[in-house]
Amino acid sequence: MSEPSKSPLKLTNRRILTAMGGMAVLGALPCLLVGGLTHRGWLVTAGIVAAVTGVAWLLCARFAREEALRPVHRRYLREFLPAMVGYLVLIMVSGTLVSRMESVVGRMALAVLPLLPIVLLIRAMVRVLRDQDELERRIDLEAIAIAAMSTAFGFFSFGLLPLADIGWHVRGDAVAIWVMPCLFAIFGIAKPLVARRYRDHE
Amino acid sequence: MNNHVRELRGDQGWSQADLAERLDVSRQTVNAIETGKYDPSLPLAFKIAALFGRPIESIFDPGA
Repeated sequence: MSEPSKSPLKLTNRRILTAMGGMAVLGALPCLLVGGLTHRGWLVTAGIVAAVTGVAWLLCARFAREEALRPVHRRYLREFLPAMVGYLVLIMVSGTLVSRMESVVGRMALAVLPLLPIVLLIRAMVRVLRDQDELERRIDLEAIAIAAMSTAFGFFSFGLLPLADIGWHVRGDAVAIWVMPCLFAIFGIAKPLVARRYRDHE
Repeated sequence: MNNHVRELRGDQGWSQADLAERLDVSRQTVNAIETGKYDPSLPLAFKIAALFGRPIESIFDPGA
């Protein structure tokens, strides 16, 4: 049996991370430019999140070992990427049109529209969690537990601080919208740290 | 738990990636088992034993 081939079309973890990181950084540029020019704060925030995520993926790619993706992870990519693209498109549509809509029902429908691809993302994540091998599942579950507890701890602390009456007035909806990105970001940081515990010099 | 997976794999002339493919697990998992960082579940241990054609207790032992 031979080592994983290095053909240009072979999907490897390093190539996927590089492609996704590059796309995120490239996608961040128009968001920052248009958001800055039109004074849309949410678009600038989206650009910053995309840029930070993209740089993180590129850094991960730099240190990743070139290995072919297993079928379970290829399937995850096939499910994850369209859902992620759908989410990005719908969040743009929602963010642009929601304030222009007069009908309350229409505004509500537009506001929750980006949740549809999120459901598909969650489905893809649950499926990969179930079908990957036992050590991969263990690492992911440990990372999810760390992310969930850290996020809960962080937001709980954030909720307690205003009791000190230090002049902080944060909108509840602004806080709530950051729960999921924080959860994913901490998961992304925790996973390689957890994986290190099971790695030896190779 | 100690194991002889690395020696048995070497005897067959397989890389970690080869063994991983035969066991339908990741190379990272094979590496973690070989280095004793991770003890496989009973079903995976039986699968390893069956692949090498040996009794499970001749591959894995609880150690000191």
